[in-house]
Amino acid sequence: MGHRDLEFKSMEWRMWLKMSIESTVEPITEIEKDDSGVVHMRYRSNSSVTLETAIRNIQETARIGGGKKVPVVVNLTGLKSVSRKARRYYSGEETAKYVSAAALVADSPVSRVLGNFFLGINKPPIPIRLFISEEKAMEWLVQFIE
Amino acid sequence: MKAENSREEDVETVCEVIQKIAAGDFSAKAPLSDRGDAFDAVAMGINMLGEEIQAYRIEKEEHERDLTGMLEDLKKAKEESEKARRELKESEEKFRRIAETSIDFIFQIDKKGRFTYCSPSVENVLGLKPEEIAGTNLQDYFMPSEFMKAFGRFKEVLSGRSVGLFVMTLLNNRGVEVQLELSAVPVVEDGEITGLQGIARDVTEFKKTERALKEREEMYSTLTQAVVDAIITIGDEGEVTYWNDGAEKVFGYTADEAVGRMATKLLVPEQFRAKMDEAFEKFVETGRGPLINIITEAMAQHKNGNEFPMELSIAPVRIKGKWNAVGVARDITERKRAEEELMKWSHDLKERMKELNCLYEMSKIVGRPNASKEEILQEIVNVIPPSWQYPDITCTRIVLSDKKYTTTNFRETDWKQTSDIILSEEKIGSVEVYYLEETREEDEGPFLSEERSLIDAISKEVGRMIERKRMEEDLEKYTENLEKEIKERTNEVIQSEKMSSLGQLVAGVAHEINNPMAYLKTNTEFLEDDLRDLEKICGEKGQPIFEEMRELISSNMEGIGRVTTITKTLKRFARPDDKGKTISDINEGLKDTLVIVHNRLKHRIDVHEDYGEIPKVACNVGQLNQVFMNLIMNSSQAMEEGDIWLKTWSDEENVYVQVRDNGKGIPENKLREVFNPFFTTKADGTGLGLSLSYRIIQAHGGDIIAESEIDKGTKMTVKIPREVRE
Repeated sequence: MGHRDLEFKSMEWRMWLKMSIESTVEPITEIEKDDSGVVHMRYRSNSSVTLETAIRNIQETARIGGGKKVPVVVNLTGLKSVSRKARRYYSGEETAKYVSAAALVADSPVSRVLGNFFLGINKPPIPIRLFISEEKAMEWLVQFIE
Repeated sequence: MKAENSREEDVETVCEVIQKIAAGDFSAKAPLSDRGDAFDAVAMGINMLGEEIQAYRIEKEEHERDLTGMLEDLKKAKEESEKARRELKESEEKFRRIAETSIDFIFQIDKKGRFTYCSPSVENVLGLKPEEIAGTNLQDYFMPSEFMKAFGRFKEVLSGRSVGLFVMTLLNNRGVEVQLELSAVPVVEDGEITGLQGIARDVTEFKKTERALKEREEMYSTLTQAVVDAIITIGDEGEVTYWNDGAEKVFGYTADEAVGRMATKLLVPEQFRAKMDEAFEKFVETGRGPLINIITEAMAQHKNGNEFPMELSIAPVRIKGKWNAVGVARDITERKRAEEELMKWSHDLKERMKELNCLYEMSKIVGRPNASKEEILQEIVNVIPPSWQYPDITCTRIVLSDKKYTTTNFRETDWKQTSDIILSEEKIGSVEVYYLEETREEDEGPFLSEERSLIDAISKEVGRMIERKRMEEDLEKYTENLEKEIKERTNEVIQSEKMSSLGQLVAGVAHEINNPMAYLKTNTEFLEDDLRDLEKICGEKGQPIFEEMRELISSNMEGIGRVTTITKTLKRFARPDDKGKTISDINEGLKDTLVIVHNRLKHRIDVHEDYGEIPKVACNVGQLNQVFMNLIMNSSQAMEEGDIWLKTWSDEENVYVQVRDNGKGIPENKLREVFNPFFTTKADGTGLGLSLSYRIIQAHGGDIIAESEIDKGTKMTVKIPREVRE
């Protein structure tokens, strides 16, 4: 069966295909895992997060976390906006599969509004807290390291 | 990215956005700068709130639509429920009417087993009015043995299951057992089982009838299955409708295989099928047919394709106005076989009887005294035909080398059975049976194998009879010869005894003569001595007298010598005491014989003696001397004057004595008979001399060869075996 014959019916597959095509576009997020096993996620300055960005970030987190749940530090500082779909995705079950806990670092007015809004409106199913510094965030996240 | 505005402008813009959102335009967005300051944070918050409100609104609208739909559904459900309630009410009314008019009674029981309702017809069944039953317990109506069963059933219903028809035995108001057929379902009120309701029918009579029918059916079934005969019923279209175990055994098909199939196709051989189908068509119309209501025999077809004889009876049965047939069939293969065997056995027995009769008649004929062979054979020929399969067209012949014996109707045809008559492993003739007409083919042409056995037995019997007859003839001849022999032997014995007596007499006389001859000789010798003494005394004077006396004494001495010789010879010749064989000199015997016969030969016959060097032989010399005397005397009597030549010689095995004369000879035809007893050519002959001589020589293991030539003479040569060589 050739590549052209494949029929992608599910949303995930179509999304995956789109992301594969866009993979050449430089990502707006830096994601890496430190020695303690905590994944650090940072957005570039003035980033607007869409659903595609959110899915890619979670998949990348899953990849570097070896498919297991890992604690994530998300630095919201550079964010300019997050779409409603992206917020719902971050607070959905797909994210909870690969993220054991999330510490949101918001050291700017915009990022704080975003963080609070996310915590207050979207109510994710995993432990999430808002911190003003990464140190504090790491202190809290240590308990989720396996 | 919008151009950087002043704070006042931004505030105004945000206020406008807020007013739009408040007015319901949730797509309105507050502008964001790249500053990321508190103002941007507020603007972003307003934007996000707008989005959330819009999303909430959309969701709310969807919920409202859903609620409206649900309300409509509820309304419909309510209408349907009301409709159902009405229908239920109607149904209940209908049910009530049915319940009150039904011959079955309908009942309801609560969870504790108490009757809460009974339709009026319960009175017909249990003899109690519904109001009398209401409030009573189930337990009151069941026999104790049935109650647990009923309890189990009702418990099942109360657990939510419907129970199909089941039969219970109850007691009515008179204590009589009543059988009810019941079915029950649970009663559910507000989702909870509150009891059960059911319907009951009095099946007491039905059950009785059913039991009776079942028993009868079982009886019939047992009977039909027990019988070894096939019982088959055939429907009006010719299909098999019933098939018992016997039918399976007889025809090979199981009931499952046979029922529903066309009977004629299944059971009737192909060659009879068309005829049977035709007969069945008529039967279906009339209930009659050639095979109906009779017992007959017919050929049937087994599942394996084999055909077999069966005994069949078919009876017509009218079912629902149509003619059906009930057939009973029995496989009679074994019976047929037994009948055939019986017939064969009977036939064989009959044939055996015929054979026995024939052989018995033959034995009577053969055993009749004084019947000749010819008479017997002719009578045997006549008793043979009745024993054959077709006596009226049977003729017979016995063929022997010298004669043929036939029945009066005898004629040779192509239908012939023959058996050789064998005697001492040699064919001497044959017994022949002919059919005068052509008949059906049997084992051997038109003849039966039994007839082959019989003709062989007859030929053997004829052979034995002929052999017996021959033996009887031989015995008769032998008896005649024996009688003749006895006569001959008797005469020979008499003659021999005579000779023996004569020999004894001669020997006695010779002995008696010997004694006086002894003293005559002695006295004569004394007399001769005395004469010599007397001459000496008397001198010359008495010489002439003395000379004469000497001649007389000499003559006396010669005579005494001759008498002595003769008596001694006679004693040796006769040998009366010599019963056995002794080693003897044949030549001496011959010489002695010549002395004896000298007187009969002198002056007439010249005897020429030529004795060879022969060994002594073991013999009875007295008997041999008698033989020699007979031969010499026969030669001398054959001529007035002539010569006799005596010659002896021997070879490795025998001693030979030959007596030859030159007499008139014996004719050739008589020469063969000269040794027969009582054969003689002499007027005063006994005819026993040569026969006795021949027997004596035979007794010595020898032979006498007679040769003769007319007018030239006869030669008798005696051959005696050299039993003892010296």
